[in-house]
Amino acid sequence: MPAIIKDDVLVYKGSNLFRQRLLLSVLSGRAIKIEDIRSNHDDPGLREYEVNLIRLIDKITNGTRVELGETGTSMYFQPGILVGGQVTHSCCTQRGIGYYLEVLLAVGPFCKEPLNAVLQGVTHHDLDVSVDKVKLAALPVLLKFILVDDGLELKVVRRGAPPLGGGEIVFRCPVRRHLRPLQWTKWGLVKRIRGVVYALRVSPTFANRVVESAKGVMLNFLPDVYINTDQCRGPNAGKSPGFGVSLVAETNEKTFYCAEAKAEEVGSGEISLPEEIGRQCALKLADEIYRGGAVDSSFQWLLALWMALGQKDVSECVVGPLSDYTISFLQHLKEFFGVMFKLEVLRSELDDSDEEDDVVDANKVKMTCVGIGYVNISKRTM
Amino acid sequence: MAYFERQKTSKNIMKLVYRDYEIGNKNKEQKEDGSGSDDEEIGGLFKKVTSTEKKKHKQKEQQDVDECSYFYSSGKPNLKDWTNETNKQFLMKNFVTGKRLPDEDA
Repeated sequence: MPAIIKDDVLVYKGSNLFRQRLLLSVLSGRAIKIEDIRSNHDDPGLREYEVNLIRLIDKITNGTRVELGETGTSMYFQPGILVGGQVTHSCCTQRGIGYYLEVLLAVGPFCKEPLNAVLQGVTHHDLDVSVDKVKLAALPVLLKFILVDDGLELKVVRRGAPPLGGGEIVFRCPVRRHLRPLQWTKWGLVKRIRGVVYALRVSPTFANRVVESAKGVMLNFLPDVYINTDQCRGPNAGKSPGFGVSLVAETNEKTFYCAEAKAEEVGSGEISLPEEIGRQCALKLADEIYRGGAVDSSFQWLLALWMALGQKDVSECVVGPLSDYTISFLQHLKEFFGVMFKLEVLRSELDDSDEEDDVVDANKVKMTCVGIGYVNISKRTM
Repeated sequence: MAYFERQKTSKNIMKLVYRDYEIGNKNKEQKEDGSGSDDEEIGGLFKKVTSTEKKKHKQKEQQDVDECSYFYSSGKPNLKDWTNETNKQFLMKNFVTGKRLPDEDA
């Protein structure tokens, strides 16, 4: 939904896409106002996890001003300057750490001081990308933009399953004056599959059963499959029981696709079999590989962001079909920065005659844009 | 499966993403909407649901959805069974072990 611009303040309605709007506001320095936040719900206003996100942003910026309306259903946000540095934050357990980590990842290169964040909370959540996925699939994307990794690091210290969490990660991100333009139109073929299975406060055999079934599916395609098990003990296993798996497929052009599956929360009334979780994850990975593109579908928006904020040069990437989240992110990019991407659907030219009719090739999208020449003015130059 | 529906119906991806955002077209559309919305009554009692109202309704539904960056953000994905032979053949070309084009090196 397009924003209404009032005195250079972007006015939005509704709580959806809250995170996108906040982070773009911080990067662009434009104030936003959000109205009608769950105004028709039984429990109106901002949720705890959203307030928690504002707190995190407050910690990494200087001079941020937030005003909440009397009823809590409207909010005015005036961003400060990105500072970064050492941050410790305990994330709300309603959402995963991934929810917060993605924001830090997006703004990380543009901080004044290199970001060194300790986040505590739920490391694996149904709605959010897990910390493993960020580590395996998103960091390589950022690496393409900054080229030299001086201190880009994500360490999973402790894992924590919902609802109580108890996990902890350390995220370090170097700062850059500007990002490089990127041409990334080939992603190659999948050459190896790796994975991590974690079992927290459950029998260790669960992990092995997940490995077996996930491997069973992936071995249909490739012999190079290796899945690690991470048996956590004592305080390293968090506060709630749970188990799950992340699989990553690496191509020979350094593209990483990642899929995840996890067991249902305890007390939700549903039972998850380890074999089912493994198989489900493997099929999700196959689906991700089928959709293809230069980045994993969950991180298309990060790619778009960094392309748009690059030097004044042409960036060109080919991704799989755009997710709904990416589409709204592109719309927001247009509103905050005035960047419009050129999007072209690439049709597969080599239509093999032996292809079945019910399986069509996923349409790839070629995204082209000229960077706006965003410069990190707070970075100190030696 | 919003994506597959989209794939069938609209082909212009620029329009899909930036539909409401092109300043040039916006004024024109608004004019059209204004003239069309008045006399859509059936039998003087019922009102036909216009496309703008449908859009508004949809916007309202979307307004407070939980944010999620996954490709299948709403509900469970209906995954294909990639292990069955026909689907498997199709996916194989994305792996190094799969069929290659004749002019490609290993």
